[in-house]
Amino acid sequence: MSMEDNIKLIVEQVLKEIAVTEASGKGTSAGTSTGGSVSSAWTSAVAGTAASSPWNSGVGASVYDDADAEDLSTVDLQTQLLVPDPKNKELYLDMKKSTSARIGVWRAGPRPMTQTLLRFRADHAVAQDSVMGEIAEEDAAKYNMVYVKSQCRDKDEYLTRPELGRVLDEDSIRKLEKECEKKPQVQILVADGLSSKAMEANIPDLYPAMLQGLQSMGIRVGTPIMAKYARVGLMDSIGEVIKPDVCVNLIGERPGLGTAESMSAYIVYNPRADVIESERTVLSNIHKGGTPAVEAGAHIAALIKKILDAKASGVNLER
Amino acid sequence: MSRESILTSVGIDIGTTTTKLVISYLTLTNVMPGSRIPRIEISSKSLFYASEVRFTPFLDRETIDEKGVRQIISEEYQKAGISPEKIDTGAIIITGESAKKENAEKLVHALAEFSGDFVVATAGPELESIIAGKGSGAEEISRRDRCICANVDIGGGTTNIAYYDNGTCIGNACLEVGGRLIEVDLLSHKIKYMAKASRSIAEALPCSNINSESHETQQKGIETILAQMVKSVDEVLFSENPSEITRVLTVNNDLPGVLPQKLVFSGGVSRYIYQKNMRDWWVHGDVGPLLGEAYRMGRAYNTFEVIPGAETIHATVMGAGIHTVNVSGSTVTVQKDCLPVRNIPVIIPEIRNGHYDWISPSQRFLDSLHTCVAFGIPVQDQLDFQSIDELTEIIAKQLPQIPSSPKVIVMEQDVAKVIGQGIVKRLGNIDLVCIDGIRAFTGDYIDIGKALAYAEALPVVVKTLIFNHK
Repeated sequence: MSMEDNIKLIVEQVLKEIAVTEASGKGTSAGTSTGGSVSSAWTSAVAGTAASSPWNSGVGASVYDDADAEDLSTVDLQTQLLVPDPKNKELYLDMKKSTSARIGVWRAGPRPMTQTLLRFRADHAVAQDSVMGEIAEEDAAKYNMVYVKSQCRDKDEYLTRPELGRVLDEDSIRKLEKECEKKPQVQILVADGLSSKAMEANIPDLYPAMLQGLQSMGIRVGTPIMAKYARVGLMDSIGEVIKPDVCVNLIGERPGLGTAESMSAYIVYNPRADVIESERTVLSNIHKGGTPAVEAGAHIAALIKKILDAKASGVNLER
Repeated sequence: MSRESILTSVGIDIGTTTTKLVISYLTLTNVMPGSRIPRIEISSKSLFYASEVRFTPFLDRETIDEKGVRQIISEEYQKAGISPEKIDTGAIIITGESAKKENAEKLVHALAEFSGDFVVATAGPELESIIAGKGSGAEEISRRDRCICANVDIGGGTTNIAYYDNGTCIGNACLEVGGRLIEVDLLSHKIKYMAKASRSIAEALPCSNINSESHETQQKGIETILAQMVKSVDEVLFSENPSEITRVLTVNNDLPGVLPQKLVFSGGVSRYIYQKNMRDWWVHGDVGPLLGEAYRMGRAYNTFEVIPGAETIHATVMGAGIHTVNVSGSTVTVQKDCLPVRNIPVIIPEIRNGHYDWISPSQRFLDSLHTCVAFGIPVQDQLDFQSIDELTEIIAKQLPQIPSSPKVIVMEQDVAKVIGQGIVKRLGNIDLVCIDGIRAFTGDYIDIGKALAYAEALPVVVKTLIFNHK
C-alpha cells in the first residue's frame, strides 16, 4: 500500500472519530472535540493534511456544521472597499469595477487582513471543488447528448494522466458508432475538463445561442456529445470516429481565484488523431465577468462558419 | 491579420467668421488577446494636417458662398496632399450664426458628400456645444477629475455652453453672444455693422442710437453692450432667472440646475481670455478681444476654477474631426451591402401590454424625409438565452411592419450577434444591421459607416440632441 493511501486511511479514520464525538457531545466546539479525541501530535498533522488535500474536503464539510457561517465567496469583491476613509471613494470603486484584481483590500500591518486572507482561501476552495466536481449521465440526457468517457477510470487518474484524457475508451467508441450521425458539418462536444462548474454555468445559455446561430446560417449539426474526464484533445479522438468537417469542444477551463466558471471553445477543422495544437482556434474566458455565454455562443457559430468557408482553423485560418 | 488599422478623419467647421479644416488619423486597435472576442477601440488620435484659419465666404449677409467654401475645402485637401476618396470618416459642421443662414442645411449636406464618402453633416447649436467641449478637452477633464466641467465656446456669433459630468454631456445652452456681432472699421474704429442681437441689447440699454454717437461715447457703448452680453451668459451659467435681455439672446437652454466646478473657455474669443496684456484691441476689426476682456471681468471667470483647454479657436473643428466617431462592438450582424446609412432616428420602444412596441413611436419619424429608423433596445437586466430569445421574437414580429430599409437595430449591451442571428433565423437574409456598443436615446440620430478593414466593427456617429435622459 502506498504512503499516500496510508495517510488517506488514517485521516478518514480520524475524521470518523471526530464525527462520533461531535454527535455525542453537543455544545462542544469543533476545535476542542478534535483536540480531545486524538493525541495532540496527530491533530496538527492530520488537520494539515485534511485542509490541503481535496479528496477530504467533502468529508470535512459534513463533519463541521458551518451552516450558520457566512459564505465568504458570495460577497462581490468588486463592490467591496476595505480601505477605511478613502480620499475619493467613488473613484476607488470605479477602479475596482474595472478589474477583478484584489485592490482596495487594506492591510493589517504588513499582512493582509483576516477577511482578505479568508476570502483568498475560500476562492481557492471553490476552485478545488470545481476541479473535483463530477458530471453524470443525467446531465447529458438533459440536452439529448450522447454520454461518453475518456480512458481515465476516475478523477485521480484524470488529473495525473493527461494523455488518457485525450482518448476515448472502448465502450464510448462503440457507443458513438452506434448512436451518432457520421460526417456532419459540425460535431459539438461538451466536456467537463478541469471545471464541471463551467459547464453548469455556461451551457444553458451558450448551447442554444450557438445552435440558433448555426441554424440561421444553414449549417448541419451532428449528434451532440458530452464527455467525462475529457481533455481538449479528446475532440481529435472523437473526430476519428465521427469524421465531421469541424469539431467544437466546449470545455471547462482550469479554475483560478477569479472565477471557477470559465469555459473555452476549441474549434478544429478536419479533427483527427494527428492534429497539431496550432490548428486549434480558441475562444477563451467565457463566463459572467468575461465574454457572456449568450454572445459567445453566437460568436462561436460565426467562427465555425468562417472556418468551414476557409477549410482551415487555428493559425492556418489567420493566414 | 493586422491588429491595427487607421482611419483618416476630416473635421470641417464653417463658423460665423472663420472656416477651419483638420485632418487626423485615428488608430483602431483590437485591445483583446487573440483568444478573446475582438474589441476594437480608438487607441490613438493624431493630427495630420490643420488648415489656416480662413474667413468664411459669404455672398451677402444672409447667404454662405457655397462655391467659395468648396474652393477652400479643395485647396486645403490639396495642401494636405489628400483626395476626398482617402477620407474614411469625419464631420462637417456649420456653427454659430452661419447655421441660421438660409442655405445652411442644404449646403452642409452637399459639402459632406463632396468632402468624402462617410463625412457626417451636422448643424445646430446643440451639437456644436458638445463637439466644442470634446475638442477643448472639457469632456476629458470632467472624466479625469470626476467633476462637472463646463465648456464655454465663444465664437463670432454665438456662445455655446455644455456641461459634462464624468464624461457625459448633461446639458447645453446657446446664446447670441460673440465677438463679431459688432464690426468696426480697422482704421477709424467706428462701428461698421451691428448684428440683430447687439442691436437689441443697444435698444434695451440706454445707448440705442450708438451708431450716430461720437467716438468716445461709442467706445463706452460697446463696453456696456459687451458687459451685458457676459452678464447674460453668467445668468445662464449660474442657472438664474433670465432677465428680459438674456431671454432675447438665448437660442436654447437645457442646462440642468447644477453648478460646474471647473470651466474651460474655447472658441476664437477665448484666446483673449487666456492671453493677457492685449495691445491692439481692434486687430480683427471686431469686438472679439474686448469681449474676452469683458469675460475676464465676469462672474463665471472669477467664481469657477478656470482651466486652459487643449484647443481654443480649433476646439470645434478638432472635436468634429477627432471626437465624433465611435466604434461599435465587434460581434455584430450585418447582412449584404447596406452601408453606409446616415441620419437615422433612433426609436426607443413604448411599453404596450407589457411588451416593447416600436411601431407606434416609429410613425412620427417615417415621412418623406426619413425612410429608415433604428430600433433602439433598452438595457436588459436578464441576459440569459431565453430572455433574449423572447426579445428577439418581439423584434422579428415588428421589423417587417415598418417600411424601413435596411432594418437597423442598435443596443448598448453586447448581444447584437445573438439577436441578429435570431432575426435571420426567423426572417431569412433581409437587409439587416444589428450593432451593439452604442449608447443612444430617443431623439438621437445615428450614422453608420462601412465595416472596418479587418474587423467586424463599424464606425458609428451618434448625434445627441436631447439631454437629461432618465
